[in-house]
Amino acid sequence: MGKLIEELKQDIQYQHGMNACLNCGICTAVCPAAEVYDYSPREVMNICHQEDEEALIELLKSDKIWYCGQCFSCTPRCPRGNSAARVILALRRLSIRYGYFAESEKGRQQLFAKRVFGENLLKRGLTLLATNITPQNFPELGEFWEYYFEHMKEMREWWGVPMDLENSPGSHRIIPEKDMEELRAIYKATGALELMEAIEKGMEKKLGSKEEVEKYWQTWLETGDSRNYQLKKEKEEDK
Amino acid sequence: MEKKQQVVVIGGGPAGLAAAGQLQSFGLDVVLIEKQAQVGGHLNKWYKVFPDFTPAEEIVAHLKSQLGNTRVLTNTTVTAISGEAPDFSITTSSGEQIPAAAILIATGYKHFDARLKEEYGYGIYDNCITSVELDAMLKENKIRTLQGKIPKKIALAHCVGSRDEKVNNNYCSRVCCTNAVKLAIEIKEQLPESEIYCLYMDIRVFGRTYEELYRTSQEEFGIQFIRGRLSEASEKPDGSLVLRFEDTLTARPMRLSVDLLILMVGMEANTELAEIARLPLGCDRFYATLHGQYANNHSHREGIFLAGTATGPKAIMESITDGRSAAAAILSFLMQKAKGMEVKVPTLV
Amino acid sequence: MKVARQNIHWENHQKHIPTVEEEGGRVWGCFRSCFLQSAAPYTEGIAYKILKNDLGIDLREAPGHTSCGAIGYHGDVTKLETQMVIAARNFSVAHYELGVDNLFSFCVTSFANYTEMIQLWQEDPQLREYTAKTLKETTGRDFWIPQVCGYPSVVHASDIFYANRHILAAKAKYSLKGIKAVDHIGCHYAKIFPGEVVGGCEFPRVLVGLLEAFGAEIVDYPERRHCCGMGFRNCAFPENRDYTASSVYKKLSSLKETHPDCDLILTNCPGCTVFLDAEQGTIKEVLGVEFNIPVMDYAQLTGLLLGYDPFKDCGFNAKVVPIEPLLDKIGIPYDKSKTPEERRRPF
Repeated sequence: MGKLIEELKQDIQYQHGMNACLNCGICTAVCPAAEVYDYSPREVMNICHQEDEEALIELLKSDKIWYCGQCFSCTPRCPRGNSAARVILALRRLSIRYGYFAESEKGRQQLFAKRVFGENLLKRGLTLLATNITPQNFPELGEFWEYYFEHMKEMREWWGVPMDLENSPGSHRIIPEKDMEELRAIYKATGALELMEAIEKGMEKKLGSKEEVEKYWQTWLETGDSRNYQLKKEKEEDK
Repeated sequence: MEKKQQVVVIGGGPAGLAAAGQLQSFGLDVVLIEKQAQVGGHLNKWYKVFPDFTPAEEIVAHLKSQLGNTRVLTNTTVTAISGEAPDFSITTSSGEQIPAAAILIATGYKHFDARLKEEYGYGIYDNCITSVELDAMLKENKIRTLQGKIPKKIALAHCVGSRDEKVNNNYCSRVCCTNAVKLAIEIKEQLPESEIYCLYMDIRVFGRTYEELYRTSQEEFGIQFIRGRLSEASEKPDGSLVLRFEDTLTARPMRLSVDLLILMVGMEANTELAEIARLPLGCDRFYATLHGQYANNHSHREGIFLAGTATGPKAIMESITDGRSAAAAILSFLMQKAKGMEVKVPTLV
Repeated sequence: MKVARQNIHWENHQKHIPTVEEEGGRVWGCFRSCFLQSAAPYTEGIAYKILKNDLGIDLREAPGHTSCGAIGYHGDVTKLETQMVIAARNFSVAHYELGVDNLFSFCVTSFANYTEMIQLWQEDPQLREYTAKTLKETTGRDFWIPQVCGYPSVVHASDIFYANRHILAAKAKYSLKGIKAVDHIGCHYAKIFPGEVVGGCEFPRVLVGLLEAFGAEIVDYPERRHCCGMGFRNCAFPENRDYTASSVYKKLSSLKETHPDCDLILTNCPGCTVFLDAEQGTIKEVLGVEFNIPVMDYAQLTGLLLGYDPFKDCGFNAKVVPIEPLLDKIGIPYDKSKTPEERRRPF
């Protein structure tokens, strides 16, 4: 058995999410990702079940494992007690550890996940910040959200949910530094920092340099669409 | 045998009837105890039986005709079993004490309660019915929606309450696939305009000529078989249902609107006598047999035998054969006992 | 068509949530939601007002409580081990600093995340040992498992509203009589641990019970159980948000087709509350299809009916779908001398 298969089978998420699969399709039937992408959670389960190292690596390099929206609609009805969403959690971490995530367009989006959810947590103790929900990135929130965004502080006070208070249990509060230190210590000790670092490193390896990673990041910040960044290979093909 | 010995058969379905008929033909006194008003068991509900569409009534009539001198007690249940083989005493709900040298338990099965699969909406949606209810409609030649309309699109969902750890039934109920094929053909015969879909995971048509029945359903009756298990059903205001499943052969999620959804409900153990008879159960909650290969009619207690679906899902023909096989095992047991011989019960060596 | 809430088995797998009239129902520790704090802060605002002022609950929360980190977990930047220790830290702070045994969260993903960790610790002593040890080493804190009515668990804020629904309905100034409503339950409330769900995951009672208490008529539609499409990395990055918009479109088309007269969708998940509303704007812009179905969470609805101001208290000024037609239908007054823009823009 291959090394990655072994590693996958050690993952508790995989152990809890994967019993033998009946291939009945109950999961795919109600999967929101299957409705919009070329994706079937049943197929993912099947590929894992083959325990074929090459097939697994191909899966880890593909967009497929990143389509799942983690809604767990697949989970409550599986007649074998499997959870494809849980298996996806294991596959994604494996893909990140080995840098395979950077091979796919959807996988490369992990850089934003790391720099938004991950770094927010380390800086503020929250996965999302009020300043992340910009009208530019969330145009669907509409014109009243634009107004709110311009008057964020006053609006929150008006609603009775003042933000960024210190030493308060309030909304969007400033978490005391001693608590933040505990949080960071937990992130370090449990391997989350290592996982986040693997994302930066994987991106650097794929894009060629730290500078290119920053270009990719800036492209996303400025245009809200990472597809505006051209990979070296794609650039050469254009020529 | 010098003295006539009495055998009590509990349960008057196909297995119990077949066993009683066989036992009395061996010259034994037989008492058949049936809790319903009539013998026949689930057969009394069925229209026709696969694979050859024999009317269920015909099977019951034949089995009844073989009963000979059997004493049949209907509307009767067993409330106590005392003593040990070959001197059992059975107490019935009417207070009678019946001596028995051997006992056959042929108490059958119960249908899976489809309400447990909440996602299919049985008991909630108007036009979600079970295979049991469909048979009643077929019998009257009146397949209708609750709104009284002739259904155009009909789906049969396989494996309802079977092979499903979510309802704690990991086993296959065996007969539902072939029954679904048979039902689909019967619907098509009564409603030639209808479109019929079978939503299956595996087709398990295991018996002699069953495969031919399956093939006929496709070739002659145009039944559509879709390889994907039903995930959920939802109701539209007109009473029709939206079904969601994956067509696993193309790996695409699908929606199908139907006028009538038929749930192929599986079998669950009926072990009402487990405590009274002090019999252990298997992990599927059916009665445990002494050995899965060569002592399938023997229970874990000497002199108490098992037949039919009491020991797991079976087709009608299998239940009849199993009843007769139990009768032979009982005769062999009694002959050895009568000769004062050590009974050669198959045991785990 | 029957009202599809006649399912018979849910009562057999019910957790007990104490009301404010019961022991253990008057003091609660609570955890805020990252998503609500950043994308819909007013919903926690109105929930706090109701829980404190109308139900008289002693709500306890520490400045040092952090996010459960589950957006990072389902967004693949943290690990299970991280989630366990963060959860244990938040529980420990609640118990040893605030003296609370029963906890709830405003976020369904936190609810699922905490439930997952508690169940893992119950099932696997090794994981529990790992968590307690790592918690001690990294923070010096002691391990503790929260309990609701003696059962190791946490609940969701909507569970508290459900448990106290009759008390809330008795205080309500307005009724939902004549209003048709449907629920949309957060996937992470219902689908990961169906046994922890009021009513089970197929026909949940948690919001329907609240709606019924307020007098609404419940409707159902084929795509009710379909996810709203929030989908973590799918809603977070604009380039993936076609996933979200198409899920909302699928749901709302099905609702419109089934019950064109449905007046509102009630949610208990932060993501659904925001995206089921917001994507109606996108759909209108892109496809020219207007659904105009108000979407709100359980606290916003309860606030409206208790007589709180629709805008200042319940925050309906930040929504895409206008709330005024529904307010008129229920008979809730608001300042009609102002234009819709003026009502929504206080500064």
